[in-house]
Amino acid sequence: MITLNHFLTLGAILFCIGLFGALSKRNIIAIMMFLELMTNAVNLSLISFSKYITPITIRGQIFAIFVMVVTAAEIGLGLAIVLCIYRSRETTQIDEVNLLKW
Amino acid sequence: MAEGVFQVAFYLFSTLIIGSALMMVISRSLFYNALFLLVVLLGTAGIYVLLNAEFLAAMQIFVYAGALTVLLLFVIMLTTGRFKKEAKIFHSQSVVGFIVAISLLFLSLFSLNLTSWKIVVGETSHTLQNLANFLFTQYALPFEIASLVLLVALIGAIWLARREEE
Repeated sequence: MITLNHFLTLGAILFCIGLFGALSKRNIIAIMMFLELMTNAVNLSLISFSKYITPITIRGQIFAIFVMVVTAAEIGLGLAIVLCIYRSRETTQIDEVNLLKW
Repeated sequence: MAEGVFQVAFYLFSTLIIGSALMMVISRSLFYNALFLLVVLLGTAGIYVLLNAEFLAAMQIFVYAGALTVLLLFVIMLTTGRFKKEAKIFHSQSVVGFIVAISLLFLSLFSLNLTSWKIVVGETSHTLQNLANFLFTQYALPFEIASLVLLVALIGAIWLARREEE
C-alpha cells in the first residue's frame, strides 16, 4: 500500500540530493541543474498533498503550476548570468569567480 | 491488481529517479549530467501520472524536460563543451554541504513520520477541467502575475545575454 508518506519520503530524498549537489559542485551550470532538481522535489510533494489532502479543490496542483513558472524564469535568468560570467571571466567554476570575496 | 501495478510503478520510478540523481552527483561530465537530469525529470512526470496529475505530467515534459534541458545543453555547449571531463568536481566546502544535506534529510524524514496528515479519502476530481476552472476564476490574478513574471524574465534574459556594442 503506497501512502502519502512514501511520496513525501521520495520528495525529501530528492530534495536533499539536490541540496548536496547545489552546495558542493564546482560548476555553475551543474549548480543550476541541482536547483532544478530541488524545485522538482518540492513540486512532487505539493502534488502528492494535492492528491491525498485536497483532492476536490486541487490546490497543490495549482501551486505547482506557479512553482513551474518561477523555476522557468529562474533558470532562464540564471543561465543568462552564467553566459555573462563566462564572457568576462572565461570560466564556469564557482570558486574561480571570487572577485567580491574578501 | 491495480494496487499491485501502482506499487510496482511507484518503486520503479523512484529507483529510476534516485539512481539518476545520484549519478548526477558523481558524474564528471556536464553533458552526462544534463542527460541524467532529463531522466530524473521524465521519471518525476511518471510519478505525477500516478498522482492523478496528468496535465502537470505533460507540462513537466514540455517545460522541464523539453525546454529547460535544451537550454541547459545550449549553455553547456557554449561554455565548457561536450567532451570536457572535469578533474575536480567538488569544491572545498563539500564536506559541510554533505553534513547539512544529510542532517536535513534525517530531520525531514523524522518529522514527516511524526506528523499525522488529515488524509481525505476520495478520488481526485477530473483534473484538467477542474484545474482550468480554478485557474481562470479563483486564481486569475496570480495567473496574470505569473505571466508578468515570465515577461520580465524574458526581457531580463535578453538584456543580460546580449553582447556589448563596441
